[in-house]
Amino acid sequence: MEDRTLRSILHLDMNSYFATVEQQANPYLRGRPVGIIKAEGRGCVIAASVEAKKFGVGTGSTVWEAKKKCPGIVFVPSDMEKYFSQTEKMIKIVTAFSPIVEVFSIDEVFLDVTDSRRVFAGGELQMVLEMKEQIRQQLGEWVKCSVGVSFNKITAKLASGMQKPDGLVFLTPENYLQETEKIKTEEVCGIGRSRTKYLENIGVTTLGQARKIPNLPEEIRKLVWLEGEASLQTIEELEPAKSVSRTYTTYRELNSKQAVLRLVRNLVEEAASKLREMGLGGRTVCLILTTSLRESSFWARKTIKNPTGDPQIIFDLLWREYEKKPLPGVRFAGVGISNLTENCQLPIVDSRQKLLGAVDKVNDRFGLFTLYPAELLGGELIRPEVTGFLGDKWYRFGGRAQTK
Amino acid sequence: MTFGFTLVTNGVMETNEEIGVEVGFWGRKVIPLRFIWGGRRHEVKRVTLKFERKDGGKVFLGFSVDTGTMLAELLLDKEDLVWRIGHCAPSYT
Repeated sequence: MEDRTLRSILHLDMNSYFATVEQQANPYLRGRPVGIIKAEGRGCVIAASVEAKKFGVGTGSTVWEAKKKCPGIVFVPSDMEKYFSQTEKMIKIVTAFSPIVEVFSIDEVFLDVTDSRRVFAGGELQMVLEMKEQIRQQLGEWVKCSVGVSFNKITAKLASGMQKPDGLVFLTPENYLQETEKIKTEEVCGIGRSRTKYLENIGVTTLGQARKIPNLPEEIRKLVWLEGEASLQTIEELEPAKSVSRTYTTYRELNSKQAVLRLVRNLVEEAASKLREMGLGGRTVCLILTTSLRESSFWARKTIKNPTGDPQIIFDLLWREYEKKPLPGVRFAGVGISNLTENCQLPIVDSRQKLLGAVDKVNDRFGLFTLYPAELLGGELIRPEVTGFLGDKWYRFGGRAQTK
Repeated sequence: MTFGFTLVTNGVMETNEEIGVEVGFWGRKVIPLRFIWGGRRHEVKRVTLKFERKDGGKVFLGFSVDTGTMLAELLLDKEDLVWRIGHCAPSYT
């Protein structure tokens, strides 16, 4: 008899997403190794095609490394608008199969089909086949996805990674332990670099080996036994961002105060712009600077009474702190704004609010940093990171998107 | 009448010119069939991708098309229904 307490969770993962969308748009790239880079001339691969992955090229490979491993690789600058547009189509497709959908990242969604599978004659299998077909029709024949079906999120996600590209794997309560025995521990969502290292130090590399170890720390034990939750955070349940932060690692040490100022000002400008775009303001601002190998560091945090999205106020607060204890040899900087409030109005002089509103309009129309502070003149501007992490999910898909 | 600019990097020509496009309707779908650009008529052999692009405060419906000799991005301004050619490249790229 069917266990009614068990949920049926699907995890859908678009395969080598950015690269396959580009290969779909440009059929002459199909079957060729492709590396997606942030922009023309930038040094890092942010996504690789299936063909490039076979040569060992992956996310984070430098252009130089990628060319060395795969001389025939074609680099294509990323086009996030195009990818987001395809993601919206994909979300629309899967939402027709179940209203309980969690958008996990730009190319991954979870679906709870426990109730909706009953209206499909073929159950989950038929649902997934139809989903794949619709994705093929609407996103293109080259765009593929892998689906994992299981009873909780962690196992469904692991299942979708077991067969790529275009896979479909079921992990049931009866077979999941056996089927995942030989899987590397780092494949489990939640086992990161430090937990992998911890396990390697005790001679463990696979889930099967880890399950034989008694007295593992509780968090790791739960992960290796694939104990996880089955409840999804749907689009309606998304909460506004709790903080906005921007970080940057420089190519060389910054020793002059002017260079550090430019870097911090740039990051503040970008973070504040994102904050205003989301209609938020922050009360707590934070600055972290570190030197090479983190030998020494600077850290400051200030909280103000009224929330702000004004980069000048944020920068002045942080810079005043930096001036008290300047740090030479900076290689890394991070700016964070938290304690966020919705629909914040800038409480200061009206003309400043108008000015920022005008700057945002110009930058929205002609691109970020069309207008920017004079302190940033004469050097290379740091632009937003291109990732599929979707830290602004609520703004894109949730409550804010519905009121926009 | 044409507006816009042209920038060529690695064989990809970035442009933003207004163009004339002949379209067909298939059920509820609109499909570009041919377009006139640079004084020439280009037949669309296949539409490889459809997407939406927000640019310059406007929303465009985008079509990646292959003419057999050229790959191009055709953009339909959803507000004033003007067609533009976004970028194009020889099909070997």
